[in-house]
Amino acid sequence: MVARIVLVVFVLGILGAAFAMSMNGVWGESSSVQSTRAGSPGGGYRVGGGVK
Amino acid sequence: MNAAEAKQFNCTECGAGLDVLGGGRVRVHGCSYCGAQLDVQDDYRVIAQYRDMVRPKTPYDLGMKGMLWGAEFTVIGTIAWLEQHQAQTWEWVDHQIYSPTHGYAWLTVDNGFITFTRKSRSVTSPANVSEATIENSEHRPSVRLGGETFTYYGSGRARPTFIEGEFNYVPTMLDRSRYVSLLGKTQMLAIRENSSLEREYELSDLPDQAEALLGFGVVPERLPYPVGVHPLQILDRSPFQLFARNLFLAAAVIAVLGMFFTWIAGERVAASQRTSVKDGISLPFTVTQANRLTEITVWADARNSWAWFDAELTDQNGETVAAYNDGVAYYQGREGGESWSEGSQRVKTKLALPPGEYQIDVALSDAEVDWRNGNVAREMQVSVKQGLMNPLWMILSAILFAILGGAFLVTRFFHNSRRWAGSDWSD
Repeated sequence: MVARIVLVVFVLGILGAAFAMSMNGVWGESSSVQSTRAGSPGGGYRVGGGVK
Repeated sequence: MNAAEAKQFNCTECGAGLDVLGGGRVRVHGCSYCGAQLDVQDDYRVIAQYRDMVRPKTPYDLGMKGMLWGAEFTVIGTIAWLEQHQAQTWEWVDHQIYSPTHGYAWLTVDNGFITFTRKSRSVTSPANVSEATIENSEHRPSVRLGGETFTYYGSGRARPTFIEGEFNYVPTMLDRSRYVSLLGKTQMLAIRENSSLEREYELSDLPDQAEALLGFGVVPERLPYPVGVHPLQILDRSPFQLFARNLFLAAAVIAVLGMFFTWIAGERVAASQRTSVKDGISLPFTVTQANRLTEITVWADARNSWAWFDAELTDQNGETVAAYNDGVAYYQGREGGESWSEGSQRVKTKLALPPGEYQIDVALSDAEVDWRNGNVAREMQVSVKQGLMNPLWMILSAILFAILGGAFLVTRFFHNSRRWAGSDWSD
Protein backbone atom coordinates (compact mmCIF):
# COMPACT_ATOMS: atom_id res chain seq x y z
CA MET A 1 0.00 0.00 0.00
CA VAL A 2 2.85 2.38 0.87
CA ALA A 3 4.48 1.70 -2.49
CA ARG A 4 1.21 2.51 -4.26
CA ILE A 5 0.82 5.76 -2.36
CA VAL A 6 4.41 6.75 -3.17
CA LEU A 7 3.79 5.97 -6.84
CA VAL A 8 0.58 8.01 -6.93
CA VAL A 9 2.34 10.96 -5.25
CA PHE A 10 5.19 10.66 -7.76
CA VAL A 11 2.82 10.67 -10.74
CA LEU A 12 0.65 13.50 -9.39
CA GLY A 13 3.81 15.50 -8.59
CA ILE A 14 5.07 15.23 -12.16
CA LEU A 15 1.65 16.01 -13.62
CA GLY A 16 1.20 18.99 -11.28
CA ALA A 17 4.65 20.38 -11.96
CA ALA A 18 4.18 19.99 -15.72
CA PHE A 19 0.79 21.70 -15.61
CA ALA A 20 2.11 24.57 -13.48
CA MET A 21 5.06 25.11 -15.80
CA SER A 22 2.80 25.00 -18.86
CA MET A 23 0.36 27.49 -17.28
CA ASN A 24 3.18 29.87 -16.41
CA GLY A 25 4.57 29.70 -19.92
CA VAL A 26 7.97 28.46 -18.75
CA TRP A 27 10.39 28.36 -21.71
CA GLY A 28 7.59 29.64 -23.92
CA GLU A 29 9.14 32.98 -24.92
CA SER A 30 10.48 33.36 -28.42
CA SER A 31 14.25 33.32 -28.56
CA SER A 32 14.38 36.23 -31.00
CA VAL A 33 13.16 38.71 -28.38
CA GLN A 34 15.76 40.88 -26.66
CA SER A 35 15.07 43.30 -23.87
CA THR A 36 16.34 46.80 -24.52
CA ARG A 37 15.51 48.14 -21.10
CA ALA A 38 18.54 49.87 -19.51
CA GLY A 39 20.52 47.69 -17.14
CA SER A 40 19.35 44.43 -18.61
CA PRO A 41 22.39 42.78 -20.09
CA GLY A 42 22.15 40.13 -22.73
CA GLY A 43 18.48 39.36 -23.19
CA GLY A 44 15.70 40.47 -20.99
CA TYR A 45 13.50 37.44 -20.33
CA ARG A 46 14.01 34.85 -17.70
CA VAL A 47 12.13 31.63 -17.21
CA GLY A 48 8.55 32.50 -16.35
CA GLY A 49 9.52 35.86 -15.08
CA GLY A 50 8.46 38.36 -17.69
CA VAL A 51 10.33 41.48 -18.65
CA LYS A 52 13.28 42.52 -16.50
CA MET B 1 -0.12 -62.82 -12.67
CA ASN B 2 -0.74 -59.24 -13.67
CA ALA B 3 0.45 -55.78 -12.69
CA ALA B 4 -2.15 -55.37 -9.98
CA GLU B 5 -1.01 -58.50 -8.19
CA ALA B 6 2.75 -58.01 -8.02
CA LYS B 7 5.17 -55.18 -7.18
CA GLN B 8 8.03 -56.71 -9.08
CA PHE B 9 8.54 -59.41 -11.69
CA ASN B 10 11.28 -60.80 -13.86
CA CYS B 11 11.43 -60.03 -17.57
CA THR B 12 10.25 -63.08 -19.44
CA GLU B 13 12.90 -62.41 -22.13
CA CYS B 14 16.07 -61.58 -20.17
CA GLY B 15 15.14 -62.33 -16.56
CA ALA B 16 15.91 -58.85 -15.27
CA GLY B 17 13.91 -57.68 -12.26
CA LEU B 18 11.35 -55.03 -13.22
CA ASP B 19 9.16 -52.88 -10.96
CA VAL B 20 5.40 -52.76 -11.34
CA LEU B 21 4.36 -49.17 -10.90
CA GLY B 22 1.44 -48.41 -13.10
CA GLY B 23 -1.83 -49.83 -11.78
CA GLY B 24 -4.37 -52.17 -13.30
CA ARG B 25 -4.82 -50.57 -16.71
CA VAL B 26 -1.24 -51.08 -17.84
CA ARG B 27 -1.14 -52.93 -21.18
CA VAL B 28 2.55 -53.15 -21.95
CA HIS B 29 5.80 -53.20 -20.00
CA GLY B 30 8.96 -52.36 -21.94
CA CYS B 31 12.01 -53.99 -20.34
CA SER B 32 14.66 -51.44 -19.44
CA TYR B 33 17.43 -53.96 -20.09
CA CYS B 34 16.61 -55.96 -23.22
CA GLY B 35 13.95 -53.80 -24.89
CA ALA B 36 11.37 -56.60 -24.85
CA GLN B 37 7.77 -55.36 -24.93
CA LEU B 38 5.80 -57.57 -22.57
CA ASP B 39 2.04 -57.97 -22.70
CA VAL B 40 0.94 -57.36 -19.14
CA GLN B 41 -2.53 -58.74 -19.88
CA ASP B 42 -1.08 -62.02 -21.18
CA ASP B 43 1.44 -63.24 -18.57
CA TYR B 44 4.12 -60.89 -19.83
CA ARG B 45 4.34 -62.54 -23.20
CA VAL B 46 6.96 -60.95 -25.44
CA ILE B 47 5.15 -59.16 -28.24
CA ALA B 48 8.11 -57.19 -29.63
CA GLN B 49 11.70 -56.38 -28.85
CA TYR B 50 13.57 -53.21 -29.69
CA ARG B 51 17.35 -53.34 -29.40
CA ASP B 52 19.96 -50.60 -29.61
CA MET B 53 17.57 -47.83 -28.64
CA VAL B 54 19.42 -44.65 -27.65
CA ARG B 55 18.35 -43.55 -24.19
CA PRO B 56 17.05 -39.96 -24.37
CA LYS B 57 18.26 -37.18 -22.12
CA THR B 58 15.57 -36.63 -19.51
CA PRO B 59 15.57 -35.62 -15.86
CA TYR B 60 13.07 -38.36 -14.97
CA ASP B 61 13.63 -42.02 -14.18
CA LEU B 62 11.00 -44.71 -13.83
CA GLY B 63 9.63 -44.85 -10.30
CA MET B 64 10.10 -41.18 -9.44
CA LYS B 65 7.17 -39.83 -7.44
CA GLY B 66 5.95 -36.30 -7.06
CA MET B 67 2.90 -34.15 -6.38
CA LEU B 68 1.09 -32.25 -9.15
CA TRP B 69 -1.97 -30.18 -8.30
CA GLY B 70 -2.35 -32.04 -5.05
CA ALA B 71 -2.17 -35.58 -6.46
CA GLU B 72 0.74 -37.98 -6.23
CA PHE B 73 1.96 -39.33 -9.55
CA THR B 74 4.61 -41.94 -10.35
CA VAL B 75 6.69 -41.96 -13.53
CA ILE B 76 5.93 -45.34 -15.12
CA GLY B 77 6.98 -45.06 -18.79
CA THR B 78 9.25 -43.22 -21.20
CA ILE B 79 8.85 -42.62 -24.93
CA ALA B 80 11.26 -40.43 -26.87
CA TRP B 81 9.94 -38.89 -30.09
CA LEU B 82 11.65 -37.61 -33.20
CA GLU B 83 10.13 -35.37 -35.85
CA GLN B 84 11.95 -34.51 -39.03
CA HIS B 85 10.97 -31.96 -41.62
CA GLN B 86 13.40 -31.11 -44.38
CA ALA B 87 16.68 -30.35 -42.59
CA GLN B 88 15.10 -29.68 -39.21
CA THR B 89 14.58 -32.15 -36.39
CA TRP B 90 12.64 -31.88 -33.16
CA GLU B 91 12.99 -34.22 -30.22
CA TRP B 92 11.00 -34.51 -27.03
CA VAL B 93 10.37 -37.10 -24.33
CA ASP B 94 7.00 -38.20 -22.99
CA HIS B 95 6.74 -39.87 -19.60
CA GLN B 96 3.56 -41.71 -18.75
CA ILE B 97 2.69 -41.04 -15.12
CA TYR B 98 0.16 -42.76 -12.91
CA SER B 99 -1.83 -41.75 -9.87
CA PRO B 100 -3.97 -44.32 -7.99
CA THR B 101 -6.58 -41.59 -7.52
CA HIS B 102 -6.27 -39.58 -10.75
CA GLY B 103 -5.31 -42.22 -13.30
CA TYR B 104 -2.92 -41.78 -16.19
CA ALA B 105 -1.35 -38.65 -17.62
CA TRP B 106 1.88 -37.50 -19.26
CA LEU B 107 4.85 -35.36 -18.34
CA THR B 108 6.62 -34.08 -21.43
CA VAL B 109 10.17 -32.74 -21.52
CA ASP B 110 10.45 -30.39 -24.48
CA ASN B 111 13.02 -27.62 -24.95
CA GLY B 112 13.79 -27.84 -21.24
CA PHE B 113 10.16 -27.21 -20.22
CA ILE B 114 7.93 -29.71 -18.45
CA THR B 115 4.27 -29.91 -19.48
CA PHE B 116 1.46 -31.98 -17.97
CA THR B 117 -0.94 -33.60 -20.41
CA ARG B 118 -4.21 -35.47 -20.00
CA LYS B 119 -6.52 -36.91 -22.57
CA SER B 120 -9.85 -35.21 -23.10
CA ARG B 121 -13.03 -37.18 -23.70
CA SER B 122 -14.66 -34.15 -25.32
CA VAL B 123 -14.53 -33.63 -29.06
CA THR B 124 -13.48 -30.34 -30.57
CA SER B 125 -15.59 -28.34 -32.97
CA PRO B 126 -14.67 -28.93 -35.74
CA ALA B 127 -13.47 -32.40 -34.85
CA ASN B 128 -10.20 -32.15 -36.74
CA VAL B 129 -7.84 -29.76 -38.48
CA SER B 130 -6.76 -31.53 -41.64
CA GLU B 131 -3.55 -30.94 -43.55
CA ALA B 132 -5.65 -29.50 -46.39
CA THR B 133 -7.26 -27.03 -44.00
CA ILE B 134 -3.84 -25.92 -42.76
CA GLU B 135 -2.49 -25.58 -46.30
CA ASN B 136 -5.47 -23.70 -47.72
CA SER B 137 -6.50 -21.50 -44.82
CA GLU B 138 -5.63 -17.80 -45.03
CA HIS B 139 -5.72 -17.41 -41.26
CA ARG B 140 -4.65 -19.71 -38.47
CA PRO B 141 -7.34 -22.41 -38.14
CA SER B 142 -9.02 -22.66 -34.77
CA VAL B 143 -11.26 -25.10 -32.91
CA ARG B 144 -13.45 -24.81 -29.83
CA LEU B 145 -13.39 -27.14 -26.86
CA GLY B 146 -15.17 -26.58 -23.56
CA GLY B 147 -16.11 -23.02 -24.47
CA GLU B 148 -12.51 -22.06 -25.21
CA THR B 149 -10.99 -21.26 -28.58
CA PHE B 150 -7.72 -22.92 -29.53
CA THR B 151 -5.69 -21.41 -32.37
CA TYR B 152 -3.38 -23.34 -34.64
CA TYR B 153 0.21 -23.50 -33.46
CA GLY B 154 1.94 -26.34 -35.30
CA SER B 155 1.61 -29.78 -36.78
CA GLY B 156 3.77 -32.68 -37.85
CA ARG B 157 4.44 -36.39 -37.81
CA ALA B 158 6.62 -37.99 -35.18
CA ARG B 159 7.99 -41.47 -34.56
CA PRO B 160 9.25 -43.09 -31.37
CA THR B 161 12.98 -43.65 -30.91
CA PHE B 162 12.89 -45.12 -27.41
CA ILE B 163 10.28 -47.04 -25.43
CA GLU B 164 10.71 -48.13 -21.82
CA GLY B 165 8.44 -48.94 -18.90
CA GLU B 166 4.70 -49.27 -18.50
CA PHE B 167 1.95 -47.84 -20.70
CA ASN B 168 -1.81 -48.02 -20.70
CA TYR B 169 -1.73 -48.69 -24.46
CA VAL B 170 0.57 -50.60 -26.78
CA PRO B 171 3.26 -48.33 -28.20
CA THR B 172 5.45 -49.64 -31.00
CA MET B 173 8.46 -48.31 -32.80
CA LEU B 174 6.36 -48.44 -35.99
CA ASP B 175 3.91 -45.85 -34.68
CA ARG B 176 3.62 -42.72 -36.81
CA SER B 177 1.73 -40.09 -34.89
CA ARG B 178 0.27 -37.10 -36.71
CA TYR B 179 -0.48 -34.23 -34.41
CA VAL B 180 -1.94 -30.75 -34.68
CA SER B 181 -1.26 -28.50 -31.70
CA LEU B 182 -3.40 -25.46 -30.96
CA LEU B 183 -2.88 -22.81 -28.32
CA GLY B 184 -5.65 -21.63 -26.02
CA LYS B 185 -5.66 -19.06 -23.28
CA THR B 186 -3.98 -21.24 -20.65
CA GLN B 187 -3.85 -24.70 -22.21
CA MET B 188 -2.52 -26.33 -25.32
CA LEU B 189 -4.65 -28.77 -27.27
CA ALA B 190 -3.22 -31.55 -29.38
CA ILE B 191 -5.32 -33.46 -31.87
CA ARG B 192 -3.43 -36.69 -32.38
CA GLU B 193 -3.96 -39.46 -34.94
CA ASN B 194 -2.01 -42.71 -34.78
CA SER B 195 -1.21 -45.08 -37.61
CA SER B 196 -4.69 -46.63 -37.27
CA LEU B 197 -6.24 -43.15 -37.72
CA GLU B 198 -7.61 -43.26 -34.17
CA ARG B 199 -8.04 -39.68 -33.08
CA GLU B 200 -7.39 -38.45 -29.54
CA TYR B 201 -7.56 -35.07 -27.90
CA GLU B 202 -4.99 -34.04 -25.32
CA LEU B 203 -4.90 -30.95 -23.14
CA SER B 204 -1.57 -29.70 -21.79
CA ASP B 205 -0.78 -27.35 -18.95
CA LEU B 206 2.48 -25.81 -17.85
CA PRO B 207 2.82 -26.78 -14.19
CA ASP B 208 5.04 -25.02 -11.70
CA GLN B 209 8.43 -26.09 -13.05
CA ALA B 210 10.06 -26.42 -9.63
CA GLU B 211 7.19 -28.60 -8.42
CA ALA B 212 7.35 -30.73 -11.56
CA LEU B 213 11.11 -31.24 -11.26
CA LEU B 214 12.37 -30.84 -7.70
CA GLY B 215 9.08 -32.23 -6.38
CA PHE B 216 9.82 -35.46 -8.28
CA GLY B 217 13.28 -35.68 -6.78
CA VAL B 218 15.23 -34.48 -9.81
CA VAL B 219 18.73 -33.65 -8.62
CA PRO B 220 20.10 -30.18 -9.55
CA GLU B 221 22.71 -31.52 -11.99
CA ARG B 222 19.94 -33.17 -14.06
CA LEU B 223 17.70 -30.11 -14.27
CA PRO B 224 16.91 -29.19 -17.88
CA TYR B 225 17.74 -25.78 -19.34
CA PRO B 226 14.61 -24.14 -20.79
CA VAL B 227 15.15 -22.55 -24.19
CA GLY B 228 13.18 -19.41 -25.09
CA VAL B 229 9.59 -18.92 -23.93
CA HIS B 230 7.11 -21.79 -23.78
CA PRO B 231 3.78 -21.16 -25.57
CA LEU B 232 1.99 -21.71 -22.24
CA GLN B 233 4.19 -19.25 -20.35
CA ILE B 234 1.73 -16.46 -19.66
CA LEU B 235 3.28 -13.15 -18.65
CA ASP B 236 1.94 -12.84 -15.13
CA ARG B 237 1.93 -9.30 -13.76
CA SER B 238 1.83 -8.67 -10.04
CA PRO B 239 -1.06 -6.52 -8.75
CA PHE B 240 1.42 -3.69 -8.13
CA GLN B 241 2.72 -3.89 -11.69
CA LEU B 242 -0.83 -3.78 -13.03
CA PHE B 243 -1.57 -0.82 -10.76
CA ALA B 244 1.57 1.00 -11.97
CA ARG B 245 0.73 0.27 -15.62
CA ASN B 246 -2.81 1.57 -15.27
CA LEU B 247 -1.65 4.61 -13.32
CA PHE B 248 0.96 5.52 -15.94
CA LEU B 249 -1.49 5.09 -18.82
CA ALA B 250 -4.13 7.14 -16.99
CA ALA B 251 -1.53 9.84 -16.31
CA ALA B 252 -0.61 9.84 -20.02
CA VAL B 253 -4.27 10.39 -20.95
CA ILE B 254 -4.59 13.21 -18.40
CA ALA B 255 -1.38 14.79 -19.74
CA VAL B 256 -2.74 14.64 -23.31
CA LEU B 257 -5.97 16.34 -22.18
CA GLY B 258 -3.88 18.96 -20.35
CA MET B 259 -1.81 19.41 -23.48
CA PHE B 260 -4.91 20.33 -25.50
CA PHE B 261 -6.14 22.60 -22.71
CA THR B 262 -2.84 24.51 -22.61
CA TRP B 263 -2.66 24.51 -26.41
CA ILE B 264 -5.97 26.28 -27.02
CA ALA B 265 -5.66 28.79 -24.16
CA GLY B 266 -5.50 32.51 -25.02
CA GLU B 267 -7.72 35.39 -26.12
CA ARG B 268 -7.24 38.10 -28.71
CA VAL B 269 -6.92 41.55 -27.12
CA ALA B 270 -6.00 43.75 -30.10
CA ALA B 271 -5.82 43.62 -33.89
CA SER B 272 -4.86 46.28 -36.41
CA GLN B 273 -6.38 46.95 -39.81
CA ARG B 274 -4.56 45.73 -42.87
CA THR B 275 -2.16 48.53 -43.66
CA SER B 276 0.42 49.31 -46.31
CA VAL B 277 3.81 48.04 -45.28
CA LYS B 278 5.20 51.50 -46.07
CA ASP B 279 3.23 53.02 -43.18
CA GLY B 280 4.08 50.48 -40.46
CA ILE B 281 1.74 49.71 -37.55
CA SER B 282 1.50 51.02 -33.99
CA LEU B 283 -0.92 48.91 -31.94
CA PRO B 284 -1.71 49.55 -28.26
CA PHE B 285 -2.92 46.68 -26.14
CA THR B 286 -3.51 45.76 -22.51
CA VAL B 287 -2.26 42.66 -20.71
CA THR B 288 -4.46 41.65 -17.76
CA GLN B 289 -3.42 38.06 -17.06
CA ALA B 290 -0.34 37.55 -14.94
CA ASN B 291 2.06 34.62 -15.46
CA ARG B 292 0.87 33.94 -18.97
CA LEU B 293 2.40 34.44 -22.38
CA THR B 294 1.49 37.20 -24.81
CA GLU B 295 1.65 36.46 -28.53
CA ILE B 296 2.21 39.11 -31.18
CA THR B 297 1.40 37.98 -34.73
CA VAL B 298 2.55 39.86 -37.83
CA TRP B 299 0.89 39.00 -41.15
CA ALA B 300 2.08 40.16 -44.54
CA ASP B 301 0.94 39.21 -48.05
CA ALA B 302 4.38 38.16 -49.28
CA ARG B 303 4.18 35.52 -52.02
CA ASN B 304 7.22 33.73 -53.36
CA SER B 305 9.24 36.28 -51.42
CA TRP B 306 10.29 37.18 -47.90
CA ALA B 307 9.75 40.26 -45.73
CA TRP B 308 11.61 41.20 -42.57
CA PHE B 309 10.18 43.38 -39.80
CA ASP B 310 11.58 45.33 -36.86
CA ALA B 311 9.37 45.41 -33.78
CA GLU B 312 9.64 47.54 -30.66
CA LEU B 313 7.54 47.09 -27.54
CA THR B 314 7.01 50.02 -25.17
CA ASP B 315 5.20 50.21 -21.85
CA GLN B 316 2.66 52.74 -20.63
CA ASN B 317 5.48 55.19 -19.80
CA GLY B 318 6.79 55.04 -23.33
CA GLU B 319 9.88 53.13 -22.29
CA THR B 320 11.11 50.41 -24.59
CA VAL B 321 10.88 47.07 -22.82
CA ALA B 322 11.73 44.73 -25.68
CA ALA B 323 12.71 44.68 -29.33
CA TYR B 324 13.00 41.97 -31.88
CA ASN B 325 13.07 41.39 -35.58
CA ASP B 326 11.57 38.52 -37.44
CA GLY B 327 10.16 37.83 -40.88
CA VAL B 328 7.74 35.96 -43.06
CA ALA B 329 8.64 33.84 -46.06
CA TYR B 330 6.01 32.18 -48.20
CA TYR B 331 6.33 30.22 -51.43
CA GLN B 332 3.81 28.38 -53.55
CA GLY B 333 3.49 26.89 -57.02
CA ARG B 334 2.50 23.87 -59.09
CA GLU B 335 4.80 21.07 -60.01
CA GLY B 336 3.93 17.82 -61.74
CA GLY B 337 0.26 18.79 -61.71
CA GLU B 338 0.20 19.24 -57.93
CA SER B 339 0.10 22.40 -55.87
CA TRP B 340 2.71 22.99 -53.21
CA SER B 341 3.36 25.66 -50.62
CA GLU B 342 6.10 26.30 -48.10
CA GLY B 343 6.60 28.75 -45.27
CA SER B 344 3.98 31.10 -43.87
CA GLN B 345 2.66 34.63 -44.26
CA ARG B 346 2.49 34.86 -40.46
CA VAL B 347 5.19 35.12 -37.84
CA LYS B 348 4.36 34.76 -34.15
CA THR B 349 6.42 36.01 -31.25
CA LYS B 350 5.72 35.08 -27.65
CA LEU B 351 6.69 37.19 -24.67
CA ALA B 352 6.17 36.91 -20.92
CA LEU B 353 4.72 40.32 -20.06
CA PRO B 354 3.43 41.38 -16.66
CA PRO B 355 -0.03 42.99 -16.62
CA GLY B 356 -0.03 46.55 -17.97
CA GLU B 357 -0.56 48.69 -21.04
CA TYR B 358 1.78 48.31 -23.97
CA GLN B 359 2.26 49.42 -27.55
CA ILE B 360 3.88 47.39 -30.31
CA ASP B 361 5.44 49.24 -33.27
CA VAL B 362 6.16 47.12 -36.31
CA ALA B 363 7.86 48.35 -39.49
CA LEU B 364 9.11 46.63 -42.61
CA SER B 365 12.89 46.61 -42.72
CA ASP B 366 13.59 44.62 -45.86
CA ALA B 367 11.83 42.45 -48.47
CA GLU B 368 12.81 40.58 -51.59
CA VAL B 369 11.30 38.37 -54.26
CA ASP B 370 13.48 35.26 -54.58
CA TRP B 371 11.19 32.84 -56.46
CA ARG B 372 9.46 33.00 -59.83
CA ASN B 373 6.10 34.80 -60.13
CA GLY B 374 6.59 36.36 -56.72
CA ASN B 375 5.54 39.70 -55.28
CA VAL B 376 6.92 41.60 -52.32
CA ALA B 377 4.70 42.20 -49.30
CA ARG B 378 2.37 45.21 -49.84
CA GLU B 379 0.05 44.90 -46.84
CA MET B 380 0.59 43.90 -43.24
CA GLN B 381 -1.47 43.36 -40.10
CA VAL B 382 -0.60 42.94 -36.41
CA SER B 383 -2.67 41.14 -33.76
CA VAL B 384 -2.08 40.39 -30.08
CA LYS B 385 -3.28 37.48 -27.89
CA GLN B 386 -2.83 37.16 -24.17
CA GLY B 387 -3.27 34.34 -21.67
CA LEU B 388 -1.30 31.77 -23.65
CA MET B 389 0.36 28.78 -21.99
CA ASN B 390 3.27 26.62 -23.06
CA PRO B 391 2.04 23.05 -23.81
CA LEU B 392 5.62 21.78 -24.00
CA TRP B 393 5.61 20.52 -20.40
CA MET B 394 2.34 18.64 -20.81
CA ILE B 395 3.67 17.10 -24.04
CA LEU B 396 6.83 15.96 -22.24
CA SER B 397 4.87 14.50 -19.32
CA ALA B 398 2.49 12.75 -21.76
CA ILE B 399 5.50 11.23 -23.54
CA LEU B 400 7.07 10.20 -20.22
CA PHE B 401 3.95 8.44 -18.95
CA ALA B 402 3.19 6.93 -22.35
CA ILE B 403 6.68 5.41 -22.36
CA LEU B 404 6.33 4.12 -18.79
CA GLY B 405 2.86 2.67 -19.35
CA GLY B 406 3.65 1.57 -22.89
CA ALA B 407 6.69 -0.37 -21.69
CA PHE B 408 4.33 -2.80 -19.98
CA LEU B 409 2.35 -3.26 -23.20
CA VAL B 410 5.47 -3.55 -25.35
CA THR B 411 7.04 -6.20 -23.11
CA ARG B 412 3.78 -8.16 -23.21
CA PHE B 413 3.73 -7.88 -27.01
CA PHE B 414 7.30 -9.18 -27.30
CA HIS B 415 6.64 -11.92 -24.75
CA ASN B 416 3.62 -13.10 -26.73
CA SER B 417 5.67 -12.93 -29.93
CA ARG B 418 8.19 -15.26 -28.31
CA ARG B 419 5.37 -17.58 -27.18
CA TRP B 420 4.31 -17.94 -30.81
CA ALA B 421 7.87 -18.06 -32.16
CA GLY B 422 7.86 -21.87 -32.33
CA SER B 423 4.75 -21.97 -34.50
CA ASP B 424 5.16 -23.31 -38.02
CA TRP B 425 2.41 -21.06 -39.39
CA SER B 426 3.37 -18.55 -42.06
CA ASP B 427 0.95 -16.02 -43.53
